[in-house]
Amino acid sequence: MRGSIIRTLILWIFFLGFFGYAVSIQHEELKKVRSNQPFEDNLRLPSSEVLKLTALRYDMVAADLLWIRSIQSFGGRGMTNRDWRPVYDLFDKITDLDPGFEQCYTFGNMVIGDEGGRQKEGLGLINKGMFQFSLLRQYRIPFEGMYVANWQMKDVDKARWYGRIARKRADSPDWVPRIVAYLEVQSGAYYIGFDRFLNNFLLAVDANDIGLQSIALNKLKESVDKWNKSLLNKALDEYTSSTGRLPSRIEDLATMPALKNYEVAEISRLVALCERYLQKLSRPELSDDILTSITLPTQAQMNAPIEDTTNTRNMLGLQNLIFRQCLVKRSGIPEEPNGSHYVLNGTLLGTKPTDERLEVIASENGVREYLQNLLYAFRATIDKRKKELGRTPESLREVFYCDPVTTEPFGGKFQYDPKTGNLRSTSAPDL
Amino acid sequence: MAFRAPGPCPQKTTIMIVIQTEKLSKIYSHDFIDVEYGRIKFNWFRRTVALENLDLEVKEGEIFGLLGPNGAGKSTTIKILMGILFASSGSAKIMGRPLGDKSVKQQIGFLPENPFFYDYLKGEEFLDYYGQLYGLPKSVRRKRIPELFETVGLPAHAPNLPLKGYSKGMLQRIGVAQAIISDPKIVVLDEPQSGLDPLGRKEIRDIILSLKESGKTVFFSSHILSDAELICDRVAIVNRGRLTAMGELGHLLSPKVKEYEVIASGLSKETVENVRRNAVKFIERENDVLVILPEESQARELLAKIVQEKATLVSLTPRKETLEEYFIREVSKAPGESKTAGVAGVR
Amino acid sequence: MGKILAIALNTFKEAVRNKVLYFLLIFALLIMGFSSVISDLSIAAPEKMVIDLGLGAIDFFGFLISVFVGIYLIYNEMERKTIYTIVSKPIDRQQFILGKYFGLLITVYVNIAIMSIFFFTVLYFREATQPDVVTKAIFKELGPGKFESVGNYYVYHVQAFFIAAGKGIATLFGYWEPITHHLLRVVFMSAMSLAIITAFAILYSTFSTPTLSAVFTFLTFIIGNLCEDILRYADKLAQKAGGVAQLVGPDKMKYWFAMVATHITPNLALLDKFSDAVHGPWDAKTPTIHSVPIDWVVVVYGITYVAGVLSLACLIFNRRNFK
Repeated sequence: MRGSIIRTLILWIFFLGFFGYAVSIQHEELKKVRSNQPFEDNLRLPSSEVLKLTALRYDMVAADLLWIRSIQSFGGRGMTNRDWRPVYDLFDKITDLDPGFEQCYTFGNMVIGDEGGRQKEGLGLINKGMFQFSLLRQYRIPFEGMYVANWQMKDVDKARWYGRIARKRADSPDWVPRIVAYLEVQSGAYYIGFDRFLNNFLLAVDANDIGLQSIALNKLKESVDKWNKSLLNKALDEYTSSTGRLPSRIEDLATMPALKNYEVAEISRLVALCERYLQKLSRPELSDDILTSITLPTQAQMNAPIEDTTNTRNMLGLQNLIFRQCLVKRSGIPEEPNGSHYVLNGTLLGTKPTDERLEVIASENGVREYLQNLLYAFRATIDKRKKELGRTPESLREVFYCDPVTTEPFGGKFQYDPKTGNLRSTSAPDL
Repeated sequence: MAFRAPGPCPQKTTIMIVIQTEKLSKIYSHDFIDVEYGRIKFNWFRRTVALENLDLEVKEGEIFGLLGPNGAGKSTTIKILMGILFASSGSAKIMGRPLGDKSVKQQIGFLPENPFFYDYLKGEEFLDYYGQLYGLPKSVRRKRIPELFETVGLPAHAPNLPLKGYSKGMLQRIGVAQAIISDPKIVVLDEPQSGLDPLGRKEIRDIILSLKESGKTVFFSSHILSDAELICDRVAIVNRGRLTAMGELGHLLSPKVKEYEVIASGLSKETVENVRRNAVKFIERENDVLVILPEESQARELLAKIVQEKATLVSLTPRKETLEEYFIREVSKAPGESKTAGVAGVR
Repeated sequence: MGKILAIALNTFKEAVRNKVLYFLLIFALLIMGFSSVISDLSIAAPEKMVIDLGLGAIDFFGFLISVFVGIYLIYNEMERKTIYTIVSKPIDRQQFILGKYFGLLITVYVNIAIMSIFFFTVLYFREATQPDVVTKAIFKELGPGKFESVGNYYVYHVQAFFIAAGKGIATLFGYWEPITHHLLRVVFMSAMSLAIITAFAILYSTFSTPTLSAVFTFLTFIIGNLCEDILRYADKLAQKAGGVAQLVGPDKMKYWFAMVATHITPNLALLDKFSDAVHGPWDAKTPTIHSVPIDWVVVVYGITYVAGVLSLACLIFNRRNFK
């Protein structure tokens, strides 16, 4: 009896000791996995032919599982190394397994083309999908191709080719021909861009995916912003050529022909419409997380009439309706999408900046940021000069050897204090 | 159910022969790769002779015992007759019809060796299922099944008990019940008593006898010879696939007494010493002695002594040759010199 | 006929006592229930996921049931020697084979029916518990943005489940809504392909052991699924060589082997309508649902195939000695 107790005890000790040690090793290994920075998912899949054979007749199920995997992979890679090449393989294989999976072509193109910057591979996927479906259906796929060609590759001929195919599909809505026509003019790209990201956004709203919603909303804001700025820049050109001088305020441009009775999409209107339709569909409203730094709708916009929604129950089905209602005909200075308003950057006014990021017309926040960067650069130079001289420079001329900037972005002049060596802005003294 | 003779019957006038085999042989030729009970076997032209030129005749209304040691070919014979195996050569007829005839099968009840039935079925469901296989209409089944439970002597709870809960003896009994569910003319039982205790064996014996009483022909195989001896009208003995002997028990066994067994107590020492010299077997315990004497005269002498010495005679048994002894004698003979005279004599 | 039915019913009674059956069934139901969760991970086409997984599970688990239950049915009869009593009864051996086949088929079809009902229930329940439907059901809109609660969230879900289950059973008898449109037809075609596979399971178990039967049935299933791919492969071989006559050596052997294999194994892809259920052409009468046409030629093909395989099984079984 005594012996058996001791043996039991020893076995227990053995068990706890060995098992515990094994668990502790496993714990350490798991820690390593967690701290591993780049997203390493195993996507070394066999070729599509082999996959199709091994999946037997259940290739649709296999495609679904890979599709879910691809979404995880997209999220994981987006947060870590942003290496999209393996994801492309994944989408390629999914569409081989289930050629009728339309969303895979468009979503795959968005992941690889938009996020990954590999437009050619994205278009490859689009082409595959285009020829997969009969010529009569799925306008969305060639439409996506048109967007990528025009918006990102700046290849209008290619875009027109995709556009013509999209227009011929039986299910293409009435505005597709209109947008294809816009390809001729510069502003056409904005229509396409807005519609494209609207699609992504509504998809994300339906899926309740906050991350994807905010990505799509940022893209939407960006496209509206570019759209507005293209109009404002046109107006600026008209103003300078007609009056022969530079405008002092942004409001001076409001009377220009470019800003008369033009059509543009508004983010505030989009938010209002989304909220209204979500309410009508009895679905939860948009998350507050994505509604930061955005132009929120006015009460009038919130009360504007909306259309009947009996034909659909998800937001994606309302895309054409929402797109049409987001477009507004107006005159004057357009609405800034990020909750700010447009101003002239006084510093850049009159110059012809070669860098695209230097915008003469920008949002107030953007200009303020520009001013901040400018001040930071100046102060750094002053400090450097101070060390060289061993005293505070007497004037800005002594620092820069010339008068550096005559005008502040918001107007007025920089104030330099020779005693302390402090540089201050008159328009924004807090910076 | 009345016996309906299928087709013209050649021996209508004399005793009817219900089972007849002619030169029945079975040779198991093993496949090159044979899968047997989940195991793969490789065989190089291996053949096993299970049965060789077996000629049997079973008459109507008798209890016929097919006897032989294990592996003699008893089960093979029965399986061929029941259509479970196919004969390699030779032929067999049941009721004058070739094997596999459905109208004949209707007249046969069969209980295999060590039967294992669908253990998830209740006794009643089980018999009902087998009744359906005989094509009995529902009304007949409903009437017949309770009767059967009574006939084979199963307890009252048996009909509603799944076969899983049956004891070995109960299983054997319900096995007999399924064999006679269609009121057959012939009942074939393969080793009906194997694995049963003495009481169970006796009960099966009684059932077989009652089957005979109700006019059925019973054909059964057994290696329990003492039981066979008690009930069989005729027996056939097979060994190594050949028929060794066939005939009525009285003909096969020699009728004369072989030896005498005497048990007595209170004999004098002198007499005991005397007897010991003549005895085939001698056992002495305290006062009692057991003596087996080969000659009748020696037994008479001993009896006289007992009377003389006023000792007590406990028992006197004259022993004839048993089937078992005959069997052992026959089986241990060389294959050539089997007693075919018995067969000829019957014919 | 009555004897075949008796054997079939007894086979069914035996099959439903097989534990493997319940493990498979429970696993299939879990997968279907889980498909609803998986579909939430997708950002588009969640219904597609549920339908794909559900139909796949019904088909594949039906196959597994027919294999794992089927291979033991005849083997057990021989192993336990119950076949002795059956064969000695006034029945033909082919009646026994047919009885076993139909018994197994009843088992498989009952399971398919259970899985289908569960599958339809999942679809209807999913539909009824979409956030907008739930909100509409348990809140009354008084004005813009003003709601009054008229129902209990949990009570609604329990109710919805029972309604969905009722509809699921009704769907098996022809009722449909857009979400389940022609799925019953897909299941019907799956059942047809399972009838073929079940016949093969019976055929193999007439002459071999359970393990080997399972392997053979699996192989038949795989080759049957890949029938068209193998044919394409053979054609490719011939094309590469420049015609069938030009094939030499191992390629020629491969070609003819593939040709024979594709022609004698069942082409299960003919009976596969999964893709039509999700991507098929729009129905002519109701343009919001996919149409799944029933190809009656294929149904006849299935029936004749089953009859052929069963005849072969009877041929083998009729000559069989039971040791």
